[in-house]
Parts: sequence; C-alpha cells; structure tokens
Amino acid sequence: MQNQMDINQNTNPVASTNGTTQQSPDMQVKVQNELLNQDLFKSLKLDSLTEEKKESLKQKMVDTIQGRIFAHIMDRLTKEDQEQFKKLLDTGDNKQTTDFIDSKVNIQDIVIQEVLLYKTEMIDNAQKIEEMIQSK
Amino acid sequence: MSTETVGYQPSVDDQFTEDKKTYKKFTINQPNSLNNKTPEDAVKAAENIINPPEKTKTSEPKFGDAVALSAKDADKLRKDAGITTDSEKTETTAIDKKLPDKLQDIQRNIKALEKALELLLKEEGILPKDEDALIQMKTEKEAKLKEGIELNEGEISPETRKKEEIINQISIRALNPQNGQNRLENDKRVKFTREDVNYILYETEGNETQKGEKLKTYLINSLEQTIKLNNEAKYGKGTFAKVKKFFNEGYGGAAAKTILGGTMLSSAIGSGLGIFAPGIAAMGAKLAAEGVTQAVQELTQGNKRKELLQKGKIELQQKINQKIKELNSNPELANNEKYTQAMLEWIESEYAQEVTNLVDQDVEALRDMENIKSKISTVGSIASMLLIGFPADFDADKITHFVNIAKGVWYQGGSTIARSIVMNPMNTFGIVANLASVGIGTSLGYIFGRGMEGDEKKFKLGIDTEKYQKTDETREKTRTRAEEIAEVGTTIPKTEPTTPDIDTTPPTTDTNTPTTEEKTEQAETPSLSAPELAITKYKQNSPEAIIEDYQDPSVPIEQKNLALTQLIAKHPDKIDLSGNDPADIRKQIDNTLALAPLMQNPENQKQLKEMAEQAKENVDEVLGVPGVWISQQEIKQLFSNWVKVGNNEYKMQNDGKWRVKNAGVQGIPGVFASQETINKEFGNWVSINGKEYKVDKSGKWRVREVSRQQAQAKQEEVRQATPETTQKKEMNLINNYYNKTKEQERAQTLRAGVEPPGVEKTPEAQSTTAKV
Repeated sequence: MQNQMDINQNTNPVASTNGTTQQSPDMQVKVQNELLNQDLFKSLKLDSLTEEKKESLKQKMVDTIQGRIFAHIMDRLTKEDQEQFKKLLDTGDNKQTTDFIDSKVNIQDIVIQEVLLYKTEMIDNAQKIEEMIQSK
Repeated sequence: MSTETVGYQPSVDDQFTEDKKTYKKFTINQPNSLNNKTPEDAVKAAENIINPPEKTKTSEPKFGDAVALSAKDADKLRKDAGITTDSEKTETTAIDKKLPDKLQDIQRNIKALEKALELLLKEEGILPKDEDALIQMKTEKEAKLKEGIELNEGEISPETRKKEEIINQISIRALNPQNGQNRLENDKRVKFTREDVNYILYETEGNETQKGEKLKTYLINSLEQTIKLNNEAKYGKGTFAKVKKFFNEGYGGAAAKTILGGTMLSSAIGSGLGIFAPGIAAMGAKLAAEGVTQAVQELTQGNKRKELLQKGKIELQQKINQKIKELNSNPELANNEKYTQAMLEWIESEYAQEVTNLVDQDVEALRDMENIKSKISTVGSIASMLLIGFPADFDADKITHFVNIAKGVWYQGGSTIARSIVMNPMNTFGIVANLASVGIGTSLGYIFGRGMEGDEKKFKLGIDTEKYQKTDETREKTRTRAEEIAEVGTTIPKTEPTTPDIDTTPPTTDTNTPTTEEKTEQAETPSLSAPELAITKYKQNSPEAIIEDYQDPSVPIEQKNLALTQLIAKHPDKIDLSGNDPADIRKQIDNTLALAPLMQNPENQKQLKEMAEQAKENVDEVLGVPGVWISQQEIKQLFSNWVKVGNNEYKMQNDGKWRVKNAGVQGIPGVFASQETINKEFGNWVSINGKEYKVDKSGKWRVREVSRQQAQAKQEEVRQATPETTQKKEMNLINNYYNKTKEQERAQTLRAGVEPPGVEKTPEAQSTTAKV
C-alpha cells in the first residue's frame, strides 16, 4: 500500500540555505503524481469499511472537493465576472456559459489543485489520528 | 449527486447509535455563550484596543505595543476571521439578506467546529506535545520570575520587536477584547464538536480500529459540511446551487465528466490512475511556481516546526555532550568550581547562541507556514490549515512571545544548571546532560505558557511552593527569635534605631542596587534591622524596583515577602495575581506580618501591619476569599446526583470518576469527563447549593460561604428595603465597586488570557458560571 511514509521516502528533499527543505519542480511533480494516484481509502486505512459505507463517504469527499473547486473558480473571477457568470447561469445557455468560464479560468488546474490538497489534507489528518490512537 | 444545496445539517454519522442522536439533539444549537457578541464585535473591540479612540500615540512604540491597524489591515483581520469586510459589506448585503436567518450563526459554527477539531487533536496529543510542556511550565514559577526580569530589563531587540508586532496581528484575532479570553474557548459550539468527538472516543473505547475509522469519518463529514455552508454563505444559496448544477450538468457537455464530474473525482479519490495525467506534467511547474506544490509537500511532510524542534534538540544534546567531553578532558578544570564556571560560561555564550539560532529558524518556519496558510486560504480551505498543526488563530496568542524564547530558554536552562550546581556540585554532568530537553521543553513552555501579559510588561506573580515552604520555616525561626526577644526584652538596647528613620531617609536614587552606605549598613546592622530597611526602601522605591527585589535570588526571603506584600498592597496594577491561590498569597502575607515583632521602630511595625491588611484586601478583591479545604468524600457526596453547572450536569461515580452530560437531558448515562475537564470547569469558584466550590490542580477542593455575587445579592436585598436616596448612594457605591472590579478583571484577563477566579464574571463568561 502506498501511504504517507512512501511519499516521504520518495521525496528526497534538498536542504535550502535557510534551513528549510525544498524540492525541485520535477520532484514536486513526482510527489503530486504519487499523491493523486493513491487510493485515499487505503491511505486513510478505511479500506476495511463496507462498500456501502465507503460509497457514502466517497460521495461526501466528492462533494467537498467539488465545493472547493466551485469556490475556487468563483474566487478567481472578478466581481464583474462573477456577476456576468451569474447572469449567464440564469440564461441556461450552457455553451455560452462554458465559453465564458473557460476564457476566465483553467478549470483543470483548479481541479488538480483541489484534489491534491484534499488528499494531502486527509492523509495528514489520518496520520495524526493514527498517532493519537497509538500513543494512548 | 444531489444538486440541491440545503441548509445546515448536523453531520450525524449514520453509524452513531440512537443514543448519540438523542445526545446530539440536545447538544446542537446550544445558546451561544458569547451572548450575541458577534465576531464583528470582537474585531471592533480589538481595533479599539489597538487604536484606542481616546489615545494618540506620540512616542515610539515600545515592546509589546499593539500595532496600529490600517483600514486594509482591519479588513484583512476581518477576512481572516471569516467576517465580511467593509469593502465587501456593501456587495454582500443583498446576498446576506437572502440567507436563512441562522446561516450566519451556522457559518460561525463551522469555524468553531474546525477549531474544536484542532482543540481535540491537540488535547489528544496529535499535535506536538506542547501542552505537556505547558503543564511543566506552569510549575516552573521561577522561570516566570526570570521572564519578569527579562521584560523589565526591556532587552528586546528591534528585530524581535518587529516579529512581535507581526505576531500580535495574529494573536489579537483569537482574543475576545470584551474579556481578554480566547473567543473560542468559551464557545459552547466548540464544546459541541468536542462532545461529538468525545462521544466517539467513549463509544469506541477499547476498539482502536473502530475509533480511528469513526474519527476519520467524522472528519470527512465535517469538511463536507464546512465547504457546503461556506459556499452557501459566501455566494448565496441560490447562486451556489446554480453553479453546482451548471458544472455537473451543463459545463462542456460530456467534457465535464472527464474533469470535475463526480465520477471522475470519485476515481481520483480512489486510485487516481492518471486521470489527470495529460495535464499534470505540464501543470507541475506552474503549480510549483505558485507555491501550491511546496505547500502540499510541507503538509505531507507533517509538522515542520515539530521536526525542527526535534532536530534542534538532538543537535543541542550533541553539543552538550561534546562540551562535557571537552571539559572532562581538560586537566585544568579538575577543580569542581572551575569546571562549573567553565560550564556556565559556555552556557551563557555558545549554548545561548545555539538556542537563539534554533529559535530564529523556528520563527522563520512560522513565517513560512503563514505564507502557506495564505496560499491555501485563497482557495477556501480553512480546515486544511487548521488541521495540519498550523498554529492558526486559536494558538496565535500563545505564540505571541515565541520570539522571546531564545533568552528564556537559555536563561532557564542556565539557571536550572546553576541551581543544581549549588545544590549538588557533583551532579553537574547529569544536569547538563539533560539541558537540551530542559531547554526545548521550556521553549515550548514559553510559547504556550506566556500569555498576553508580556505585552503590557506586567509582572506575573508566581508564588513558589518550595520557597513558600522555606518561608514557613523561616517564619518559625523568626518567631522563635522574636519570642526570644520578647522574653529577654531589655537585651535589645533601646537606644536610637540603627536603621534610618522612615521619615528622614533620603530617597534612594538607584532603585536596583543598594547604595554603598546601605550595603555597609546592612552588613553591619544586626539581622533584625533588615525588614525595617526593606520597608523603608519599599516605601520609596518604584514598583519596578520592588519587583526586581522580589525576583532577585540573592535577596533574603523575608525581604521578598515584604516586597510581595508591598506590591500587592500598593501596586496591584503592576502585578498579575491570576494563577495563584489566594490562600497561598495570604499565607505569604502572614509571613510578612510575622516580621513585625522584629521591627524596633513602632512606626515601621504599624506601616507593616497596614500594608499587610491592604494587601489582603486586594487579594480578596481580585481573587476572592480563599475558602476552606473540603474532603474528597464530601465532594463525592455533593456530586452523588447530577449537579447542574452552566449548560452541563456533572456527577461523580463511586470510584471517583466523573461523568458529564448536557443539562436537562434525561435517561442517558453521560460520558466520562477527564480530570482536566473537571479542573477546567471547576478551576474557578462555582456556585452550588448556595456555596462556592473550587478545585485546584492537584484535585483538592475548597468551599467558601461568601462570594462577591452573594454579597451583591445581599446588597440588593438591603437596597430593596432602603429609602430611595440611600438606595442611590448605595447603588453608586456598588456600581463603582463593580466597575473597578471589571476593569481589574479585564486587565487581568488580557494579561493572562484566563478567567480570573472569584470575581464577578463578564456577561460573556456568565454561561460558564454554575447556577443551581
């Protein structure tokens, strides 16, 4: 199972002059890919849940990520663009709305960022919860 | 996936039992203990503190001065606190009106939920073990005295001051300026989530796998609630629903399914499997340039600060070991005294520098984390930063003095060694070998132990139990000596006093160091005159000079007692009594009073008694009367049935364990309450059945009959039966008294960040006061 530790071992951080660790862009992309390719349920050690339960949680995760993506997209728009976007939504013209939004933001970037952040966040939290339980 | 976004739905895990549902029904939507004080109120008040409307800064800012906020900064504060900024207010008013009435509250609930999770994680030891260090720190009274010296000497570098100012910006957000308390600590909504998680822990006791699963599930649910409600609140329910519908059904037709559709995201949560492969390689560098990848990496790597401190601890340990080897191999240092001297010199120079470097690095790490926080927060993921161990608002006040710890660490480390060497010169090796851990532990203690008091350069009073016991012994000896004097009477020559007369002694110009004359006098005068010398000195000296005496380890304990008594009597505004037991302080004052028979000048005796009397009054006023000890058995009896305290009910089982449940909820056993919870809930005087009860940190309980609240009630009774003119006078007196008390309380809580015991609580804090 590829988990948090795997990522850490593969990152090969480079010490910077100020004492913090940084990675080359290539290495960062590698980390991203590894993270994106992880099965989150396995990483969270939730793979023993029933399928029904997993599906329910997955739906919540998707809702969360989608919600963040939408918020992110909206945040990237100026006030004027937001208003324009709202007007287009009201017209129901999906093509025009799609063209408009595509001209303003790179949705793929945002999606990847949000998926990445969510997965990282959850893995990190799960690790802390595990540590807590083990330390008791 | 449903496209309709609905209002607030508590995240009830469907694995919860019916009991849990019942439990939640009564715990959700508890009245806000902030009594309708909104975050806006808090921020406004914070701004008032930062920029007092009646005061204009005319001098250079001193250490600890809050930083003036520009309108932009104020907006940022509001934004960070999740509050609509002035600039946004106009635009969002229309949207706000569309929101359900309670949505604003719900939005705050979400913030509280996130904070609560962090609280819990910290309590449960998920976050760095800083709390342990705090507990340790609390027992390190001496360190606090040293802190007082540091602050009084004002040796704060401009760089440190600058950092301090930056951190102040963060810290102010967490405090409720109405009472100086952390806005969230008193918030029952935080408690709500904590109860949820406590319930999970309780329910899964002994089943670690299930415990992990449930906690993680709860986390997933909470995050989902968070984003849903945040979006609704931010864009309006209607708008967000439309956006969601469009992206799910209208955006690019089939293309949507490949990029942000539920199915694809669902796959990404699963194996991912290169769904984004075509785009990710090209995007990698761009993301890296934006710092997002770096943020992700650091999140993935865990708590950077924790790692840094661990690394630093190891490095310090290595340096100490190396130094010990070096010293041991130096034949010139065979002599213990020389060895000790060499070690101390090293501690105060190289070691201090090492720790300073470490702290500087940590400060840098904090700043880095702030940058990361900023990046992440731009994409609306508050929870992500709250839950990664980042010192978010909640902890910010506790790191206010972080940048000062370099000195604190080495000072504490050095003083620990010095004390140990004095006590046992041969033990130097062991003590020094432990220095690294002492240093690191203390540094964390400083981070979390130092509240806001330093900002105001207040002297935090710490009654040292060990010293206090010594004082008792000293008092016994003193009394014996006094009795001897009384018995022999004439053996003391009743000639002119050997000490200067209180009215004729010229003011001491150097308040910190005795003059040559004084030194000679002290050296030549019999010990009996020392208290008289001190009382004369303290009458003339500034409070700062008296504080210095109190902190100076070379000052005799009797003189320290005098210093303490004078401070409490005459300069209560300069010291912080909070955190001290009134009984301990009163005893210390009694010790001072025991010096009276040793004074040859009746005038000095009189002044000492007046001083002690005033000091006791001040202690009572600030901390309340001390009460008397009560046995555990009596407490068990008192809590044999559920006792309502605030919004909860408490009960003690036969085995001494505590249970807690929400007030008014019938038919449930409640959940176990930790001793920590009990200490917190009953750490201040709590009214039960007409008496007041309080528990100290060691678990001992006290009870008292009279409280200020009761006294006020009594006065009210009198007022009812008194003619109107007298009533007005009395009410004025009462009002004046309570205004003064509130002022003191406010100052005190601002300094200490804790609720002062035994004083009338502010409305915000009323909800935590028991009413039976």
